[in-house]
Amino acid sequence: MSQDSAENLNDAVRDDAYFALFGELISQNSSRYEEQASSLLKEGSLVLRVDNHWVKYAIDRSGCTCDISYDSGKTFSKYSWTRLGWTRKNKEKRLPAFFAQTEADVKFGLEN
Amino acid sequence: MSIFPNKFFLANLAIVCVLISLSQNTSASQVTPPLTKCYIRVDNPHLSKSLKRLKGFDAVKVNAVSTCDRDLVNLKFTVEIKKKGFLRDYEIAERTIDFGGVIPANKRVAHKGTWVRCENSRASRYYGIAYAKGTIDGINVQTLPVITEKIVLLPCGT
Repeated sequence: MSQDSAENLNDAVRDDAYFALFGELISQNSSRYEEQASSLLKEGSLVLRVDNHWVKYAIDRSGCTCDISYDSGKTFSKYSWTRLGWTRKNKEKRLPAFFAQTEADVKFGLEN
Repeated sequence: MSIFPNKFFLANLAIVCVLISLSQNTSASQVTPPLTKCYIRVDNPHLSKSLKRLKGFDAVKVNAVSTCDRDLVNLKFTVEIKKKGFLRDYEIAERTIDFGGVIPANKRVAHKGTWVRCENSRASRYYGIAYAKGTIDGINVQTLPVITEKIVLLPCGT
């Protein structure tokens, strides 16, 4: 088996496990994510604890930034950003998936 | 009759040859080889088959890999997904993995987690950018952004 084929196979296995977790989270926690989305849109930022990490979300004009703390909330470093669109309606619609994505990343292992 | 018109021409030709040879040697000796051999490979954007199979919707995804022939400390490896627009390009997602600690020389480091869910099947053109920051031998270093080989048209509106 070539290195590329082996790598593609590993990618497929990794993606199956990761997206299964993402699907599970978004199905189980949809109402919580909707509440978080309303709170984030109202306040502009939101800090949550996900497993052993503190996660800070901040909304901007067209997207949402997610910062993660590796030292119990003392300092945060930028982890991810996603485009949500300009309107409140689009942000409300897309934020739950972003929350689920970040939680899946943390639970799956941030380095994976 | 000689092929060359005179001895003066021959002498000049010899001097020119010596000068060219010297200049080539000098320029070769002035080239400084890179201190490290660190590479980033960023794969073309693609639709995730896993998400489609498991959840029934598509997502555009970009993977990247980094290797370096020196030990790396505190590597921050970033991948961005961009969409081509009519007037300008739009960033649609960015993710930075913070690899705390030491990454041994020549170890492949993969960044596979940057993706965005497709909202519809409108065809759009995507590309990815990857770059990294870290410390090598106590010196902070940063790569130039590496762009995917192709801008890929995908049935994925975001």
